[in-house]
Amino acid sequence: MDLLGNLWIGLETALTPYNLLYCLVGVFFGTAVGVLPGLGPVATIAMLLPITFGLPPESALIMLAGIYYGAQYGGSTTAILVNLPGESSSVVTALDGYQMARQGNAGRALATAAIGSFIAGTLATIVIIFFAPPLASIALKFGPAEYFSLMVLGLIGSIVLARGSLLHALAMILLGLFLGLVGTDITSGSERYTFDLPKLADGIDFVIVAMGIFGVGEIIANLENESKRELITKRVTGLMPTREDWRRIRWPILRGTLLGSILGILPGGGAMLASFGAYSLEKKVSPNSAEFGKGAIEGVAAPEAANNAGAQTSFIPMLTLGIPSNPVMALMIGAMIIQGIQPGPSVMTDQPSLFWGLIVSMWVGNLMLLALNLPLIGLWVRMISIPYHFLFPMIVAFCSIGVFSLSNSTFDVYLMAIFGLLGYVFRKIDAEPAPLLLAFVLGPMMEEFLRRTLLLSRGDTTVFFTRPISAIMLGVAVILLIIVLLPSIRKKREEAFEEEAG
Amino acid sequence: MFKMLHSALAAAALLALTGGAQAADWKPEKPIKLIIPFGPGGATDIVSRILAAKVTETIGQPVVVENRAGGGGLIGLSAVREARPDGYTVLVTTIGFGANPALYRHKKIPYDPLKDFTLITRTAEIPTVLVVPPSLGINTLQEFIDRAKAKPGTLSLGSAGYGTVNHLAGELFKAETGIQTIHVPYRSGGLSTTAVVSGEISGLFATTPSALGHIKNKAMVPLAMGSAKKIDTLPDVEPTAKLIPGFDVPDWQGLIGPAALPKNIVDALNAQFGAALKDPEVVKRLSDLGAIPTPSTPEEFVAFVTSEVKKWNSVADRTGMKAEN
Repeated sequence: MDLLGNLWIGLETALTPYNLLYCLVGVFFGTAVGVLPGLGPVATIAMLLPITFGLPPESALIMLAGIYYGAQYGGSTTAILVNLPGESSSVVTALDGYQMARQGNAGRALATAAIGSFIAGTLATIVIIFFAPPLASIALKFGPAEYFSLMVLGLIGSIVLARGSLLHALAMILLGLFLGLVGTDITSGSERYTFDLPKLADGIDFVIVAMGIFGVGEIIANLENESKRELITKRVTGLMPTREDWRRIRWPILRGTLLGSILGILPGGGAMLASFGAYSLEKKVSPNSAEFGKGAIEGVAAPEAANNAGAQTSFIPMLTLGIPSNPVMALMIGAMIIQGIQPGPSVMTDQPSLFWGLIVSMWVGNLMLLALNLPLIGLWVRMISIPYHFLFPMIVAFCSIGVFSLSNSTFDVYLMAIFGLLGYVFRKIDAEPAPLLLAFVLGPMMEEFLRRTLLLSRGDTTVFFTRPISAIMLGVAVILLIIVLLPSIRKKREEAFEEEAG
Repeated sequence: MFKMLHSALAAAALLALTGGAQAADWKPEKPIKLIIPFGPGGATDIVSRILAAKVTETIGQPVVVENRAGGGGLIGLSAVREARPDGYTVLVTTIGFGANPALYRHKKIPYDPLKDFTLITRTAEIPTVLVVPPSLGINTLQEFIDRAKAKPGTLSLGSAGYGTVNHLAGELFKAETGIQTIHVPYRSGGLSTTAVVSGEISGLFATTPSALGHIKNKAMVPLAMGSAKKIDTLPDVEPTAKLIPGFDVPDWQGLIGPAALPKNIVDALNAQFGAALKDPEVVKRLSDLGAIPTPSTPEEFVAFVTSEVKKWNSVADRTGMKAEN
């Protein structure tokens, strides 16, 4: 009954006209930030933070939270329409979402993303209401050894992402790991592969690589055969998912939500793994797995559900323990401190209207996002039927502005152009770039956690197997590797037998 | 013809007049760019944005905050070093400014803090506190030192990376006590705080705002202040200086410009930022953030940075700390 009382407090707070307005402002800004490539929620929230000083704490946090999960919604729009992942979590959405758009199904893809996000957001809100305190303790059980093992699992899972040649996938992973090495090594402070360029000292920004390889690479490829592309976008079918679509996306959304909810809680890169993980999982279990990479609707629904669920549950450690699971949550903690609230377990008891108001507002915000985004779909879809010779200079301009805004550096814009060329080459040699991006993100983190584990264990490697969570994850990774390799091993053996027989 | 000469003379006179006025009291005629050498959202960024908003009200031109993150602040610093000394490009720097010459002295020293820049005013400082996880079973500073001496190399001190306040305070602590601890760098202050709560590391010289909530919730045990004075929010925590005289490592911030910034510009900026730092509303905002305003004269700032450079060089002599291992 206590729960009902708390929910009532939350509803009372979130549904005041004043807070509804700030929620709307937040999700609106968030959507805009998500749609614009480059400009991310972290920078936006930091810039808006001084404005929130004068607001009551509930309204301030409701608005800032709205920006964050609103950006997760918006990020998928450009990924689907023009193969331009605005946020790291929308890279996998681009894989099948863009293919759907090319087949004239942009409307259905966008609607699926919005609906999947909404369902995930609703379920994740329920998860927070019921399980926030017990789940928060999971975040603290994850030490560097557990993270390392999780990354290993993620990296092996990424091989599944690739379609086509296994050799290509491995090469892309290695290239991604190599690019990830560029910059200052956290553990030792040494610079690696920076060629004494201070601009490379912090490594290459993910957004630059993703926008270059996906967005710009795609543009170059399209310009090669422009006439063909225009024919494709002329026939746009329905804007809403069909009954058949609904049947197909039901379970992927639920599985994506579950995976996203769990990974979102983990500090440090959990949410990023969520969308990759959900995609890989669907590709393995889906009866339509052959369609993945060619416009499978499950490949849009699952990662979108996962990243939105992860965005919601990443509030759990922040709200219940006062520990940030990502840079946005660190900013939210800053916002709370400015308002005179000390984040931690006491927030729930001392500030019930803030705690429950924020949680209820997340669901309200999700509803607003759905209402905001569904009518826009028609507009977006019409946007891609603009003749390509008008559309592509606009995309390039937005990309350049976005990349420039990362750190006010023209160097980054040139870097994006180079990755654009690279992306074009990958397309020509038929190499899927998604594993490269995952390795680019996971590689440096894996190294960081490996070395931190060894630093703290004083060089003892057995900790990976003696800590139970870590051991289980490494075990799953081995099983996954066997599943991936088995078909090709069997084939080799059969070939060998045939040769013997012959 | 005569008329033209007349107007030319008038223009020249006007120019001389305004030029003279400029020399006495500099007033900016276009927006001032305030560079933050870190990404948005950190303590330095938030404090500087509060100051920028206040100075914008009084100086007559917008003070625009621009984040130039990278290379531990070196990218922002080199942008300011290469900027024209006209007062339109300034930067807020932090503790790493005076420590970098020591951290990088084994290779190429990236800059000279006193020769390559003009120091304008100190702005604020954030007190630090040494915290440990409750699971460690240590409650006083002396116990921590004794444990480290009894079992050398078993205790670890976290940080948000090389050259951050957490790292530097830990190095000074090692130098002064002669203990051996493992330095465990994290990607951010937030992650290193989490590592204390989970018991992953044995201690951290944390900035007080990041630790206060955890201390109240008994998720962290405060041993001693890392900065010289006690603070109101932690009335029972004695400064480390009580045991180690002179120990004072707050996370300080200060406003600097390119070398050879004219005196009238330095004075004007010093006056404007100084006034903002004394404004009651700003003082309240900063204290809500756990930051203490520390306005100073340019000369005081120079003396302070001189002592910082000396301090960190001496630490590097004793512990061998450097930015690369």
